[in-house]
Amino acid sequence: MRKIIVSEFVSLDGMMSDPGDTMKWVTGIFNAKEGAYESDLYDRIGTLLLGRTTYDIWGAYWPKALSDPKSSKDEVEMAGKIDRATKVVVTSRPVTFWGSQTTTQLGEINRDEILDLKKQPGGDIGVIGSATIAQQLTALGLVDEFHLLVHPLIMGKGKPLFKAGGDSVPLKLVGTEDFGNGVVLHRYQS
Amino acid sequence: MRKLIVCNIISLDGFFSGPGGNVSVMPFGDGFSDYNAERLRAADTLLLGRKSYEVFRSYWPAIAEDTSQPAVEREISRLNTAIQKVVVSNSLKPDEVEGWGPTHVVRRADAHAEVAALKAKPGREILIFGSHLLWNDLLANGLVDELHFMIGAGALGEGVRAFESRPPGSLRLLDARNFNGSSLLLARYAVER
Repeated sequence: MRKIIVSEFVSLDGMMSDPGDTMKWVTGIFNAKEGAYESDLYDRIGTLLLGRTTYDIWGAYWPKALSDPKSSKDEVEMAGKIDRATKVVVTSRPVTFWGSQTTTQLGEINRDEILDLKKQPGGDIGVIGSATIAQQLTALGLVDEFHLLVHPLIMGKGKPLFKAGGDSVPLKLVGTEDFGNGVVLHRYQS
Repeated sequence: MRKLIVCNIISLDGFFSGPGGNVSVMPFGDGFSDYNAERLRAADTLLLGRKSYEVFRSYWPAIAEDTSQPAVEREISRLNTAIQKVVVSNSLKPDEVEGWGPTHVVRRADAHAEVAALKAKPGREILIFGSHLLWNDLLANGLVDELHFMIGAGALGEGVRAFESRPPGSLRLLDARNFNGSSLLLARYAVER
């Protein structure tokens, strides 16, 4: 069965985004080692399972990056991998599809539909950004791996990855990587 | 200048303990005690808030003589007794901290000045275990040098939050490692100023 991997940039206090949702705390220090991690991740991923906001933001960025002659070689490579993945977007509102592969729309996270998705052949399922989706999948016990890229800052306020007031989520640490820029990757299995 | 080091276990979702201070639900792992002992050996002063002082005092003294306990636990017990303890509390009286090694009480209004004075004197590390309200306050006032977090392999969902404040500057990762096969990830940060 395909695995669901939740891969997120987080602060030390477990936040996925700052109140302004700028992601500057990520992009400001992102380096080649992190890029290599991302590249390997997208090699594993056959399907991207995204929330509405992340899907729209990526739709505004990645297709252009793929065709823009000013894009770096690494950006084009990443844009290509993202384009090749099939996509599932979770939203009940009308959405503009992007990319050369199919996008399936799910109205909501439903245990049976996600299990069906996992049973399909293909690469693993990647959940990136998409805080609400990640939380719902976590609550349903459907996440197989968490890859947390822990940044050297305490956010204070922001969107937490693990829902406050949710159930406890016991995990197994299976790997650690120091990217050399202050960011540490924690890999966990459920 | 001596370093003030905070050494705490936290959950993946940033909790210091379960609800009501319950530590039994924390995602402990191998290496926890060994690392705490390592920090204790490098320190000559243990700074505690009142609650942590009371919890430690009710638990640790008996461990040294308990032959069913692992050697590292008994060592931690001996070190906790012997080390100079400074307890920040407005309510504890000097006679209430007698009988468990050298200890004195500092009122909360005097804590910053006391910590600054301790740091200015020669000596080994000043260590904080537990005491999240105390260390968050010291962190917000530029008195913490390093944060050593043993990050447990699990989210609690609810509990007492570890972080009450943001540090004055950013954090600089010193190193990150997990103890052989352990589920704990030790991430050590310097507080930049």
